[in-house]
Amino acid sequence: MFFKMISLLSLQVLFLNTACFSANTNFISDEEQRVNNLNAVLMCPVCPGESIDQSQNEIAMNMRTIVKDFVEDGRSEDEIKDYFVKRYGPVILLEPAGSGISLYAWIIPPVGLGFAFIIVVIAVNMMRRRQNVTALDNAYGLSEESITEDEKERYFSVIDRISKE
Amino acid sequence: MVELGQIALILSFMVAAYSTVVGFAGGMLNGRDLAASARWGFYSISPLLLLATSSLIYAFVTNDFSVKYVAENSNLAMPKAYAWVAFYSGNAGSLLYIAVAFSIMAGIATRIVNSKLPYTSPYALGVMSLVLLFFLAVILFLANPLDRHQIPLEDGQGMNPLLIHFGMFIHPPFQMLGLISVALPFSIAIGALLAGRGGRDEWVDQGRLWGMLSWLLLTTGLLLGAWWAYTILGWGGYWAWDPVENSALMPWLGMTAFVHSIMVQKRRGMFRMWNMVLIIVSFAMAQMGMFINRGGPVPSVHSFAESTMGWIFLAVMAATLFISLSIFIFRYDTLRSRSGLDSMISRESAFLAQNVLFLLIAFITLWGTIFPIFSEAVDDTTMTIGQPFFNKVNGPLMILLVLLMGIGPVLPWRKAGWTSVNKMLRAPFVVACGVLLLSLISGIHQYWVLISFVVCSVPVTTVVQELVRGTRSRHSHGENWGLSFLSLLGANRPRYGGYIVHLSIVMLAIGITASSFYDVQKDVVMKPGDSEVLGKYTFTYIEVSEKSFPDRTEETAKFEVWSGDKYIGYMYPYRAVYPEFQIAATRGAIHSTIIEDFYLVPSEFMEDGQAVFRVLINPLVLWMWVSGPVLVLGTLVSISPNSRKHKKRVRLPSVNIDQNPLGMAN
Repeated sequence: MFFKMISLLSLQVLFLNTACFSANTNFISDEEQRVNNLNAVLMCPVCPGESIDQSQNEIAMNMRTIVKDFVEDGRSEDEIKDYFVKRYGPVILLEPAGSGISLYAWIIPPVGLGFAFIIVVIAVNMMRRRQNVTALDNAYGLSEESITEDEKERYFSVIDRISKE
Repeated sequence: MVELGQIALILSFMVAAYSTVVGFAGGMLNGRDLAASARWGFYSISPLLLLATSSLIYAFVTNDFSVKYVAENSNLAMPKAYAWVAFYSGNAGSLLYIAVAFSIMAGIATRIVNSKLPYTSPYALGVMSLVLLFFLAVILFLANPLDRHQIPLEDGQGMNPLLIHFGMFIHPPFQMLGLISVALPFSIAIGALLAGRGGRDEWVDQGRLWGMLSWLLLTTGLLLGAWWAYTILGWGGYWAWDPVENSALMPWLGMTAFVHSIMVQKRRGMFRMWNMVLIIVSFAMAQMGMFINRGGPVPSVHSFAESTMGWIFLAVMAATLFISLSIFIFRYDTLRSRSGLDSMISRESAFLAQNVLFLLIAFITLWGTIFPIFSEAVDDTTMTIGQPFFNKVNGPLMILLVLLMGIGPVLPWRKAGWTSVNKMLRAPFVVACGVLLLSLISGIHQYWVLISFVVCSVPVTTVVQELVRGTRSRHSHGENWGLSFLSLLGANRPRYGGYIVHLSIVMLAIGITASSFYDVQKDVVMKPGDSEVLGKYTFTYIEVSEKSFPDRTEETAKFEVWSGDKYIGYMYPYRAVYPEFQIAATRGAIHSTIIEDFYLVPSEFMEDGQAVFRVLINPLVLWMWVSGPVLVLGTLVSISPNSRKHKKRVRLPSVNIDQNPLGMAN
């Protein structure tokens, strides 16, 4: 058991070690990171759906320069976002704001999760109510799943051997 | 030549209409001859459409710009091999591609389904013909790629230069084929419903087979698309939650739920209604995908197949949903489950939870995609919902799915006792703790990354545990290790093939997690001779060379790159400018290792000799591309026919009269 655990663990570490290599990186300054983060949430106004980080369009390049200058000036994230919202409207943000009608965009997913949970519970209960049918099946030996996987594997290995002989 | 194609198109339209009517009639009147006639008619459609396709490709190759579609999508400068890409790069041509590809696949499916499910087959054929009929009608009456101009042109407008990439030879065909192939399991399911045989589980094997194939095509299409975006779009990413990407993801989510829950019906005779609903919803989502791709209401970078006909697809989607759900309700009573659920903790309920989660993600994706329309209509607020939103809401749900993927498969069917669950989950738990500890030690402190890695370890552990356990039990019966491993895989291919697919999904998840949280990106301004350092990489910008082509000018930068003390070599990222389109296409140069990608891409070459480059280090991205072939392998294993199993075959009665001539439910 112990041996098995060790081998499993080492396999995983091998897999994740690669990730860890790249994890402790401080290659770029905080400022540069902030510029990147902002670029990823601002939309390029002429290339729908693409962030200015993605887009190769000239406007996107200019906007990247503005973001960079602002960050270097020490403006806060919200100030910079506001600057662009004032010029282009809320469309420019790739992420809906947490107020007004946009709030619905954020609220529905967790509500959906709650609903999904309730649906599963109700469905499971409905299916369990029919259990008496199953009990009947079992009583007449109609269930096919009365053997376990282990038993099945043993059974198949015997069949295998016989068919080879 | 094109006229020949036109005739073939008109003929195929008539045959499809015939097959639709006669197919349904054959099912309802239980007429074998009618069904056979419909079938043979259907087989003749694919050669006809192949003829139409060849005539279009011939027009491309011979630069016949009197054909409107050819003039719009190619020009003299286009390399001849790209005739194939140009064929499906516009709206009308892609419809023809979908029709021809679907007719071939559906022909093969019909042949197989007919031999296995004689009662269902005529109806299934009717549905397939109807789907094809719709596409042919749209092609003939609204967007015919073979139509000619009044006045022939000297040269065409040319193809969107972003499409000139060899990924375009495979990504769109797979994606479109994936979307339309959802119609195959859908037709089989609806066919079984109409034949009143939905409650017998005989359609399940065929439904699963074609469902898996469709899922495989969709997955391949999505992965190839991500790979194309990563290597060509030159921003270092691979998925942007763009509306069209979302609309291709939704049917994939639905089909993933379907190929899982169909197993419950196969093994336990449960979820009969649920599977019907799932496949109907998946097909509706696939239609939705085609709708958004074809001039839907949401702006997108994929708008190259733009037209006004999106609304027709939407109307047809609504009609499909309405009709198939009506059939479903009409046949509701034939779909009672054979058995009930025994316990909350069982593989069945894990499947159910997984299904609901997949649908939830699909729903949220749909919600985010259409929310801007909603907010504009209700509140007059125009807004954009992009990547950050989807990452935040869908990311955690996907991690939850990976967790379920680890636990579900080791839960026994029916009922799990706490002791057995405890025993099965002990190793995963210990390993997860180990992974957490090691990740913390090695400096991973972002908690989403920690959660994701720990969760990813669970399916890996349970799969390895299962394989070790099974192999050992066979080994103890005298087989050698290698043989017992292979015979274990062969003994239950759906299951072990599924495990392989699960491992590939873990690779994908790890790649996505690492590259979204630990990518390093920097814009640098350099002039020839400059050296810069990012992480362990040192790169020197040596020179830029300019090359002119009839349609574009290419500026290629030459870099010499070192990784620590190790010399990597030269890298050549380039930027091509297409003056006619006012589009610049950049192509990154990527140095890939299993640990990370070093990615160089030019953003701008300035007059004074300076140039702006974007440099990225993307950890673990290679794993995402490796996961593709693994996934294909696993899927093929899981659908490969099991020779040991006794093949069930339903035979038609020898007399052509049934006690139930209308095929009604008993």
